[in-house]
Amino acid sequence: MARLYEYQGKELLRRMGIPVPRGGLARNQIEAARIAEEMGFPVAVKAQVLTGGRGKAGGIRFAATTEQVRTATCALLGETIHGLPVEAVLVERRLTIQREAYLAVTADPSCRQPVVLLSLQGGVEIEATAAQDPAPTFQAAINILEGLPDHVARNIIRRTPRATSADIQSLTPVLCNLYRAYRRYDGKLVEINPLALTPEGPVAADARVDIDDDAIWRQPELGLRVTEETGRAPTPLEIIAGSIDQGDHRGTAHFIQLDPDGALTRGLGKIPIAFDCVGTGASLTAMDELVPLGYYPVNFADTSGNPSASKMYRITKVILSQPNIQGYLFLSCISSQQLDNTARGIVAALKELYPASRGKPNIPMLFTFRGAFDQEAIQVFHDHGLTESPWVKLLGRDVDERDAAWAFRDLHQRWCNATGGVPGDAGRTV
Amino acid sequence: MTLAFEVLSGGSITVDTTACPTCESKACATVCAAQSPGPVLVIGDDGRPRLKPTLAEVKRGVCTECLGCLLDCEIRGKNVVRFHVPLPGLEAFVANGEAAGRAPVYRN
Repeated sequence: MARLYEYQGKELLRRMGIPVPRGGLARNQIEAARIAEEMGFPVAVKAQVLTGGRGKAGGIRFAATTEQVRTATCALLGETIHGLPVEAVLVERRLTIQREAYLAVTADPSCRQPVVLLSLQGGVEIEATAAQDPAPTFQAAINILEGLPDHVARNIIRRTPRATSADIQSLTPVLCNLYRAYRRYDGKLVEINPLALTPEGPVAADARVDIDDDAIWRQPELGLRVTEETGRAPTPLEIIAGSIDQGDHRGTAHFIQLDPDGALTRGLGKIPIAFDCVGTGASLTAMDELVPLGYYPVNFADTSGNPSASKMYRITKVILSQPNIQGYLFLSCISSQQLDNTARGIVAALKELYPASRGKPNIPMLFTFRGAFDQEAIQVFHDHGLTESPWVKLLGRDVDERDAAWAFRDLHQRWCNATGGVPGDAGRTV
Repeated sequence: MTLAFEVLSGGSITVDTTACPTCESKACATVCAAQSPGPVLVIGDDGRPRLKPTLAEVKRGVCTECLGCLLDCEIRGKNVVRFHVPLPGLEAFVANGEAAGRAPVYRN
């Protein structure tokens, strides 16, 4: 899922004909003050972060003067909200809100249709409101072949509790356009919360737009990059890894950094290692075995579905580019994918990253090949001399995840005893 | 003399075929013949590898990018196969990491 920032989501809604407040994006106080002065006061200064609960966390400030805009912008930029740094603010004309509504279109897997969610008691407390009294929230499935014509939208609004004639009149175009936005941009969720009902009509005071990952290539004008769904902004390395699957449908190269800056691993007193697995089930099992032994995989990776060797080559380079790692563990489940190709990709990457030692690494690396062509995979490592390295160990289908974790521990301890736990000269053949 | 072709992932493979007539193993074609959907590289009458499918077919995915030609030519042949595959941003990421004291361990 690719989640858009509020300012991106509002731009998309504006293009589809939904009223949004006047405003602009600012990355410093000078830009913020200029935008506010051009629009006139009062204004709202809103932190742009990919998280909910922003208002309650102090991420929205109001300002009536240029000085207040500068102060609010300085306070927000550099702040973190729910662990996410604020790098830009949206400066908008403050709205005069009479009532707040909630409007969303999303997909309902249970009925395999888009659904419209509508509440005229909406606003930022919609979850609490719905929990206390679900009646005011109305939900309607949409026939994707028919779309959402005007008369259907009117009927949905009419059946929503507490809807007035004026609501039907004013919300119908908003609802129709929201559904159009959902379909046009391959949305997974397109949400306006709150939809501010003002004397001038309904205005989208906030916007959440999540785009379907698998459809990003159809939306080049959004400028999105394919990354994994993490609930936070992607790291630079995740963005690089996200490019690997683009344009190459053969297998997958999923990569998520679990501890991008190493703070979590340090805090836990664990040893950071890089990690790759064929199959997410085996991946979780292996992680569960590694953590009690004192190791913390700083990334999750899944390279399954029979990826090409060139895909393995690229993801291996990405995985090993993480700093401070003290080892690397690769493990396949009992896999039907052609593991000799997997091995070729890894070997090609190691030979490129360690040219002076012809692929022999300076940290302990354990490879467990289990499944189709596993013997051939191990033979590739032998053929290229990597098994001559004391820090490379290969295992086959006769071991389970626990065996692999313990074997990695033995290898790592031998490496620590020999090197003091410091990766040596990568060019040295040990 | 160079044989060059593009592959599905956006990368390209080049083979400097100057030394190929004197190569006894023809390892590139041997490993390629073992790949489905059949060989991309075959040996011509002049002893040099050539493409069996068209360039367009190769780019469309007939070459499975198994890297067998790259690796086997290195250890069994004349080490004349080169593989170029894009990974936009990685070099800059590594350089930035080095500048900030967070270099990958392979750069030690």
